[in-house]
Amino acid sequence: MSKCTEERSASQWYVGIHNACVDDITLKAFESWLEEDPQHRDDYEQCELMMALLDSLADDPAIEPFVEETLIKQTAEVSKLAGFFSIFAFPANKFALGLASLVLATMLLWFVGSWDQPVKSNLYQTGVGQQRSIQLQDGSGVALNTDSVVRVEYNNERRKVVLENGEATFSVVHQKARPFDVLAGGNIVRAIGTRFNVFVNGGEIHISVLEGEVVVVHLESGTKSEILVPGRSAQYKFGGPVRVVDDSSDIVRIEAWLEGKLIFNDWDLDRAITEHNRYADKKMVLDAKNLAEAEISGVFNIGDTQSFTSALQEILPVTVVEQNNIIAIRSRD
Amino acid sequence: MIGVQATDQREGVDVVHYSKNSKRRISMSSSNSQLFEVYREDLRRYISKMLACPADVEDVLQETYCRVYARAAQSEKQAQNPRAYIFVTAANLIKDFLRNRLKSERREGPSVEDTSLLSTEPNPENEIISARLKRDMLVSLERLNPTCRQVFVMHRYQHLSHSDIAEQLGISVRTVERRMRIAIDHFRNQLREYL
Repeated sequence: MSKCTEERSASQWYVGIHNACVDDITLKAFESWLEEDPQHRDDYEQCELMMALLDSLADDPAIEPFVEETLIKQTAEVSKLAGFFSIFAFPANKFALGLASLVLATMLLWFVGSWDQPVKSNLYQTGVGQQRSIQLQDGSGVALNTDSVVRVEYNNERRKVVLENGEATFSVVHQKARPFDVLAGGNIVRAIGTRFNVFVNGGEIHISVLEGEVVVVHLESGTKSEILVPGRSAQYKFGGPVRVVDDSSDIVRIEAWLEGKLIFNDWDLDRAITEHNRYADKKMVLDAKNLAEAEISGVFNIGDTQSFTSALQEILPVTVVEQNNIIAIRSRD
Repeated sequence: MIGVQATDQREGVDVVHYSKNSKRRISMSSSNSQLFEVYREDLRRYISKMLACPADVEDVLQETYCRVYARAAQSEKQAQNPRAYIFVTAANLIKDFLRNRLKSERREGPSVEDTSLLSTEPNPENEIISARLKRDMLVSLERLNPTCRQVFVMHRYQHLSHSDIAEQLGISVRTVERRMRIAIDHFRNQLREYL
């Protein structure tokens, strides 16, 4: 879709044409650009349709938080400027005035510069079976579980972390002025100074609190869930409404993976196998459906498939067969 | 998704009632209509990805049919790639439909049927765009670089001109336009399945 850099792109034309003071020359040039190549017209029409779709959100309550966000930013900037000018007005003698304007000039430069600074966006990821802990610049920490992707975007107003996939536990340093938000599965998880875990499991998202408090904001409606505390966890489907349930069993699982362990406490065999497979390149398959609900308990090191399979052979009437990079668990009889 | 389900439930029940916006109904039997029939289901899926109300989906579908039929003889493009032609026509109609609906809501407020429900709760029946599209748009807005998002929101949702935004933020109009362009490219990429 992207053409050579010399040429203006569809989005550039769109912005140029939708300027209130667009001139005839630009319009003429635009017309000939459209005629140049059928692809140009298609690209441009895509932009038009997309903007019409986005504009349809204009009166939607879901857009209010975004508008609010820009309003807050605008007032913050205005008061910053007001602060600068009061420094400017204060000094009495010329030397101080000169110094103050130098300070002002430097600060303005910094301030104007900060607008064009791209927001730092750092991507961290783990492969299957890997775990990783990340220290963020504000002292908060992220423990990233197997097969996960997290994007961290900090600015002056907000600490934003997007959990694109997988599972992570966040230890958040409380900052009153800068909320810590985790975006996962189309909703926002807002920490109130705490340690909590977010698990994007396919289209199903689980939020569990280990310490402190957390609230989940439904992205579409802006409604907030009740405040989550340890033992109360939230679940939702992608972008869907949030359900809060009593659930302390998941905390055992989370504290275990943070230690590099799998702890099964009366887990159904098929659930235990699914959990094992999250960490393993070589997947295990239960080839004995009658045993799917057999309950097992045990503690294993993550990645130690060998111990897991030998334990299974000890406690259940099964044999383990390895073939084609798959580990099949078969009924012995 | 929701839109498609609703269509299935309502089809054959009371289609005319739900198609209150439609101005024309034409029945066709020529071979031109066969061409359209080939793509009808694909096209319906495409439109229901974007529009929430099954009646609106049917209206746009019908209107596309009318346009394609009316221009069948004169269009070279259509002969070359009928599928692309039909979908581009539908996309244009959806665009016009959204623009008109938005304008009339601004002018007249919500329609009579909407107010008769005497409820301020968001009612899925009155939604114009599909829930899935809305969610995807909000998520991509959330994912947009914050400085670009600020400019985009001010321009599209607070209806400020480029120069007003530039003045308010103390940046140049060129910077405003650059951020708008980045925003548009971002959305085109994020929402490509709808375009």
